Amino acid sequence: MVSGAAPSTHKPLLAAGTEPGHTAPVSASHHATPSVVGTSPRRRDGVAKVKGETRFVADMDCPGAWCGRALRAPLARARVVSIDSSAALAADPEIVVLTAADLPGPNVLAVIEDDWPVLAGEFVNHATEPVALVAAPTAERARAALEALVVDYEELPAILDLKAALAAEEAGEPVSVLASCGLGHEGVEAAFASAPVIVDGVYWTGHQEHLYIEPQGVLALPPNHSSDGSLEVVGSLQCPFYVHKALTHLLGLEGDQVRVRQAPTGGGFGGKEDYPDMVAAHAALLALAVGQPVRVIYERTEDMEATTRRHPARVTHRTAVAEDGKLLAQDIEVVFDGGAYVTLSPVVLSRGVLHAGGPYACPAVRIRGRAMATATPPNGAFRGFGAPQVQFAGERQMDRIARRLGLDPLTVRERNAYVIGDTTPTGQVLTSSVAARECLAEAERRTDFRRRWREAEAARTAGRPDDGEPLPGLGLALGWHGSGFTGNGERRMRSPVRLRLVLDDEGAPQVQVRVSSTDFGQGTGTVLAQIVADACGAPFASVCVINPDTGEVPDSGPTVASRTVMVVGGALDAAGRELAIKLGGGDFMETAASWLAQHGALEIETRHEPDPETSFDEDTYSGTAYPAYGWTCAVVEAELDPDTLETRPRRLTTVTDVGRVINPLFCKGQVEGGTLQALGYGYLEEMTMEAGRPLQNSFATYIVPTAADAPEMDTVLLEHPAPAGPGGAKGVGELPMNAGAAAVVGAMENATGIVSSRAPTTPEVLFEAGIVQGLIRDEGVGGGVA
Amino acid sequence: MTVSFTLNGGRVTSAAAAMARLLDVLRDEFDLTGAKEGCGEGECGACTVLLDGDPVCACLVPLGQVEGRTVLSVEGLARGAELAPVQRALLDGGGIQCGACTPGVALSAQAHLERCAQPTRSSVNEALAGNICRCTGYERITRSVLAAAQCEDRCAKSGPDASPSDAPAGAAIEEDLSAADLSKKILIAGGTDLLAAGPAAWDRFRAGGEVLDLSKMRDLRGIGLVAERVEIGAAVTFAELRRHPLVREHLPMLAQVAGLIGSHQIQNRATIGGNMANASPAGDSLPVLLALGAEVVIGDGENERCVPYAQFHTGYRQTVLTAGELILRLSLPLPGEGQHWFLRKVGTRAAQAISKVLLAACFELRDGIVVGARLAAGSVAATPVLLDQAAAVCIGQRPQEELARRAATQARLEVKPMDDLRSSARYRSHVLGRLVRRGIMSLR
Ligand SMILES: Cc1cc2nc3c(=O)[nH]c(=O)nc-3n(C[C@@H](O)[C@@H](O)[C@H](O)COP(=O)(O)OP(=O)(O)OC[C@H]3O[C@@H](n4cnc5c(N)ncnc54)[C@H](O)[C@@H]3O)c2cc1C
Ligand code: FES
Ligand code: FES
Repeated sequence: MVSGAAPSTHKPLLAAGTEPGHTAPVSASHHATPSVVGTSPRRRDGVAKVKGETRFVADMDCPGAWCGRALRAPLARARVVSIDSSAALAADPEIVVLTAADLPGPNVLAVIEDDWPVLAGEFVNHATEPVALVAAPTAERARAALEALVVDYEELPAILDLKAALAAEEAGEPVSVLASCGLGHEGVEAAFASAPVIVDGVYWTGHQEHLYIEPQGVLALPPNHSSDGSLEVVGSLQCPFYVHKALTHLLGLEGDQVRVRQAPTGGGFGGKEDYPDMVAAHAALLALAVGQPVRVIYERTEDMEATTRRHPARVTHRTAVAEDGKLLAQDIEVVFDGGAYVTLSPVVLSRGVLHAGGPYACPAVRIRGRAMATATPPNGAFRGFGAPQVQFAGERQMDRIARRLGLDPLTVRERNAYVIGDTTPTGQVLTSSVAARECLAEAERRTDFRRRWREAEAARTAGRPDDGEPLPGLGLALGWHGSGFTGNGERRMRSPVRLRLVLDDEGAPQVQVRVSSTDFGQGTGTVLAQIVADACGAPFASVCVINPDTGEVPDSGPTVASRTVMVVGGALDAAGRELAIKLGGGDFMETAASWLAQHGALEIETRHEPDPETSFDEDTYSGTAYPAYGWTCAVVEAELDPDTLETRPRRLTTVTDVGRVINPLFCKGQVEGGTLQALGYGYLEEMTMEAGRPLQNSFATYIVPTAADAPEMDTVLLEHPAPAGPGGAKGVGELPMNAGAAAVVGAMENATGIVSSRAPTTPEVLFEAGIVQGLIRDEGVGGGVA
Repeated sequence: MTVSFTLNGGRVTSAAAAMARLLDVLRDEFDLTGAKEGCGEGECGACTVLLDGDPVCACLVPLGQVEGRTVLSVEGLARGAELAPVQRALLDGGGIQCGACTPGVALSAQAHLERCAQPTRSSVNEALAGNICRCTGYERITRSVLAAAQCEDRCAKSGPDASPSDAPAGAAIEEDLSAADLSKKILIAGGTDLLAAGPAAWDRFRAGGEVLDLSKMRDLRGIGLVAERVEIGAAVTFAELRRHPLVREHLPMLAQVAGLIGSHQIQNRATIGGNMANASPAGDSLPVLLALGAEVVIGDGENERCVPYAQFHTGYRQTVLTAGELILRLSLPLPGEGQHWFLRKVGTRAAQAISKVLLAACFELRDGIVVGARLAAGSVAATPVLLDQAAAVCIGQRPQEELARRAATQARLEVKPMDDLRSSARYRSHVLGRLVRRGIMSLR
């Protein structure tokens, strides 16, 4: 049953300053309970959080729990000659040490290619790769044991970064390509051959660290300590069933012998999508070996050095354009640094390739992508999942095109942005919920971008007085993001969801929402209850979302890919209506109470129903890549210091179309938090690698925005409903990551005239680019004249 | 020995080591896990608690230093079942997402609401700059705190007897330095450098000998006017410097730099003597003291000696202090007529930043001519440096573009900036030149 309440026509813009939510409820209102969708009830976990009562993994009371730690390789590539634990064991005989040789089954974490070892075997393939595990009754003893382990390595040559990998490839030396994909239309060559203008650009983006405030952590209880005789794992994680799958494979256990529960999770952003498999594997192996609960909590440096980050990228654009700025052809190459193992790189690359053309219509497109191996920790999921890299490049390329043609950044985007009826590079015809131009228009209305951008250009070219006053600059970028898994992912998964009607502790009817979607800050636990309450007509307070626990909930998929509200929420909407029908209408609490009195508990399970009309061909990259796309426009107003080239974003306006706003406050929170991460990616968050490790491995050195850095935000939500989601809702989690970085670098260009093609553009990067472009005089170090 | 203090309104004692981190004591001994360890080095603010009403990082506070004082953790913020206004505002205003930063944010905000009569967007953001939130983008946090500022009862006492004025455990202990034995002692003042160095360094430090807590020494804590000079005790914190009327009136550059150190949590603990003794080339107060022509009074318990601050730093992280000596106080001349100052700290971000370049300058002008100049820079050499040649160029000249350029070139020849993980030598050199030029042009 597809939730079909979404009107297929565009809804008008919401009036300025009004909160969405006064529009039609998710389901046709067949009941009297007032709609809770479109309102912002308090988050379910909020009171406990603000009182400090929420217990994260490190806070949980678990008497007798041991401390688990990993010994990590200091070298980027090496052969492990020997591991000697005799000194550690002699000093503290009670401790437990595990190496690859002790593993009961295959030494692998099951992701896509099953090439990610739990512990380095004969070879170390990246610095910080775990080589041995230690458990001890206390943290101090575990630390001492780690220090007493002696490992002998034979160092091997290594390709340490993307530049080196590309250079080796060019020189014909052996390199490893972890994944590749792409698409191409006929007519690309012809379009370039006859193009009036051709614009080339090469863009680089760096690593980005999630920097969730709560580090990775897992508590594993061996069967003799768990509540039901299973191996029980409680962790800070996004995807309980990923961990479940990894553990059953690794340990050769049946599904019901492993139970994974999500603990309150202090931020994820994708960083707790794939990596908790590793943390959980280590904790579980140790717990089974010790026979005691084992807790593994990462220290911050370990977390920053060893866990996943955003894939660095080089994106090369060649664009054919007409004199009026209309795109005629795009030829794009996307290269990602995958790190040492395949892990999620194929799917990250796929999303990157599918978003690389940007939210713009273009008749002839070729996009080729590959992910190359480097001797660094595998890069993994991070909000946006391949899209932020390519959209930074794509949006900077649009600015480059605009400048080449004497247009402003807004005009060139207006001329090309998708409208209903346009076709994407995969041949997907966009039939509904396309708001790219509406986002641009509303952003322009609120910021007067075009006029102010031109004013800043004019003032700069006329020559400003060098009086120390900050240089004003505006930047604008447009982003899109496909909701749900790429291609046929949702079709294959057909996520099941479950509702259970029971009596609560007070004897009142309660609807339990049983799904594997996790809340790590986004508000999932509240938003899904809002959808269900409206769908079945129950009071919001009587709907409760059960904590994700593989023993209690069906596998409705991971909490990734901006899929939770649209896909899981959509299935729950259907389940809720089915429940209402089953109860026969009327006042929910009355009918539910009488049902429960007569028949006892009622369970409804439904699945996500993908649109049967659409499909995606994974070989040719053609068809419906995503069931719906979200759209966002970001305008950054910044000030640049003329002496130091420091950027201070002062105001940020975002206009974002999410189809249908379930909870305005949370939705804005996603947009604002995501956009600030994107700004950080654009102007602050430098990560320099040396010998395969990041130099910036602490809060003191990896620079993210503080409250004093954050611009004042004007956050506008639009509702252009998508038939694929409940009431028209699309995903919002990742979309905001796609526009901010290019917008802030665009603002720097408007202020200084310096064009930067790199994220992040720190003052140092801008300074060097200014010298290359002849806008800053190179005086060298120490006053010498160049 | 045990340590007694007031915790969330109740009198408690702990038998943990005096050098144990308050964060561990709260979490492990009192099972108060609202304060989180996000970094263990004073940067993230997730461990924020209020010490006598001021936000501090519990990961940087040794237990011994809370003896007789009042600690409020997030668990003590609500008034029983009723949330404090700031908690309510965060909850209703979207200021909470994952919640890992929330306890620290709530406490920093509460302290700000109590201290600041009229909070503004920028005062709130400055007060919260030591609490990193990776989820919200801060907008809803800022708005929530501003909303809480509108509540009449925003400052009303949180928890029973939790505000500093009611501290039942008696005033914090004060000691006389003369009574202290300095030999073989390891000195601690605010502990921000010592505890941020991490557990391994901390172990080595602890093994080194007995700890002497300078923060309790009455002799090191005052600020006063003595014979036309401002005297500042070595254990005065940056928060005290930032607020003190004498400093604000006579040495505004020092008050300003104090407000640029780390975050409020750091300023509430870090001392100026510790900044000097730590002797990092990036110590922000150091160039200011050079530019102000400070003198340092050093003592060993018996004798005192006075050293011009320009001679204090002898090499990378080295000073004239010998074993058994400590910094007692600073003595600064009152600025005369025609004095102008210029200060610029360049970090990567707007707050909580380690300097990439800092320039502090004092100029004396008579009839439009520079008759005195002292320029000093940080983070561009192994020590903070006086730019003597650049200053010499200025004397007898009018502050004009030509002079500004010459002085800038001169300044760049006097320093040896480095490439490191924060910046590049080229950028630092460029920026130093630009700032020197800007400082001179500001005299016009
Ligand atoms: C998160 C964070 C941010 C920071 N940001 C900045 C910043 O922006 N700018 C900046 O300049 N600094 C910054 N610092 C460092 C700054 O806090 C310290 O340098 C501080 O001033 C040291 O003072 P303290 O009292 O905390 O020293 P402590 O840590 O107590 O001591 C530091 C050293 O000085 C010695 N010492 C202390 N007092 C004396 C004395 N009177 N005589 C002799 N020796 C003494 C101690 O024995 C020890 O070796 C930051 C630190 C942290 C943790
Ligand atoms: S734990 Fe990060 S500041 Fe204390
Ligand atoms: S709410 Fe997650 S870090 Fe602030």
